[in-house]
Amino acid sequence: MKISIAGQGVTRFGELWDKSLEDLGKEAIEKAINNAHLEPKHINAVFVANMAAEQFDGQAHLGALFSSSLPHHPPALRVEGACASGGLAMLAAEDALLSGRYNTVLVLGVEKMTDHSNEVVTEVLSGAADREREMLSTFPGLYALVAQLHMQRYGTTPEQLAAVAVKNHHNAVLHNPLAQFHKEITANDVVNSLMVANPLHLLDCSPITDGAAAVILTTKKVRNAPVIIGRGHGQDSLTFADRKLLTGFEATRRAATQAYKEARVTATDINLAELHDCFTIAEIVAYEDLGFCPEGKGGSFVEKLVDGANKKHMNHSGGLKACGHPVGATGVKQIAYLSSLLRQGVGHIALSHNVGGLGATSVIHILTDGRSQ
Amino acid sequence: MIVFRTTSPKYVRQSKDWKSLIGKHGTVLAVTHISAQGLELTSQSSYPLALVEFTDKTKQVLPGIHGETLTTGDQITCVLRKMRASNNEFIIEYGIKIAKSPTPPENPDLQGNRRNSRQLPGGVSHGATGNLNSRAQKSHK
Repeated sequence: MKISIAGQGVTRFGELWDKSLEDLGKEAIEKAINNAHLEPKHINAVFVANMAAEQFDGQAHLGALFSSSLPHHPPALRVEGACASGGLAMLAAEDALLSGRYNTVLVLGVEKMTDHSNEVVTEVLSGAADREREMLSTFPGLYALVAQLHMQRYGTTPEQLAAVAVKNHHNAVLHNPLAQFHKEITANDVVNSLMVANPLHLLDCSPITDGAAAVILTTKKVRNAPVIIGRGHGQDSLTFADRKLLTGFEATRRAATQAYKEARVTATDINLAELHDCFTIAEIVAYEDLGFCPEGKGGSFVEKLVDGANKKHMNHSGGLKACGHPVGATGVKQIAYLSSLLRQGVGHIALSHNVGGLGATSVIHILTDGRSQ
Repeated sequence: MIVFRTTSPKYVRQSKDWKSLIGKHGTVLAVTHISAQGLELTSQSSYPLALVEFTDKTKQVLPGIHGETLTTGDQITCVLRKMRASNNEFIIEYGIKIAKSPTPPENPDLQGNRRNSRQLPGGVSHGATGNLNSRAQKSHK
């Protein structure tokens, strides 16, 4: 049984003060339904990805909220897995399709974050950690420790970290009108921006964002629709210090192994990927964990992407860094964006990489353009 | 919007681990200095956060003392310190931080005994930590 992406819709990402959580979700749903040329009544169920609507919006019943936006009120539920909520909701929806319970479902990812100060958002997002949260850690702080270890062990430089941000801002300017930032930046801008947790500067960090994305998945045949050919889900200890691997994420390696095997492809077959660059070091580590380059070579890999020696499309959308990171929406937005590119003929096999917390959860999807299916 | 304070039953539960950590020695494997922090930490302009390997080979991420600079390879000792800003409505929240330790212990097995007979780095006397631990333990009984 094959799962096709019948339609997708993404809202603008950014500081959308005039739009509520509900407004954003409904807009993405409407766009996806229109894109799929589908009657809403044909949607059997809704899966909503969200991390922290209770804390950001005082809303804790998202399944019912978004089921209400469809005239027939289909069954709906919410999936939470920190920043990997989107990827996990996709997996839950796919499993429901593969079980035969449903034949067409809608997956919505949504988060409304910008009504709060940076300090409040930092506090809420630190809920994706546990024991380390008690020890005054923040997510930039924990990713900064990964960066420090990577720099010590492999000689990765602040300029190589900055290259990720420069590339992703460039991609957003070039390709993505819905991105939060449409401004080119230089490596100097990055290394001279405000320090958040050394070596990570402000411009090494993804922003606080409002946004939503939706996709419609179906087991029915849809002509030329992108098809999901590989899926992977990996977990690791929630506590960073308890892990064996400290310069990469074992959860991503496990998820990638599953997804490549199921899709019957290797890393070299992937020429289009949306990666979870919540911080610049996260994208460098992802290159290595996904097998795009050898361990420790992520820094030189990004340099080749920037100077054009490597033609792979890594974060064509601008990634989390420039497109924005409404945490619960990101995993769905990655699939929606890749689906749109595959329909346009950009790339043939695409990969999405969605990470929760400091790599405790990782979800990988591999898509193909459907023309060969 | 709700931000849950840790000065709560959760805080009391966390304090159960203090006794095993106070006085424990280790080495800094990696360190960052956090300049942008969450709501309850805004009074602390910058503080170190380090991945530490203890002499028993276990690892933990722990904060350093406000104002102290740590570097990779530093020898450290776990100490009890005030964790967050306090006000008149909540108890003063203490917790485990790490402080530079000039010399590693001669015999790690003796750490527990030594804790009771010398002053911890950073100026907190054992009397103070001992009393706090006793109070925390009593509250669990």
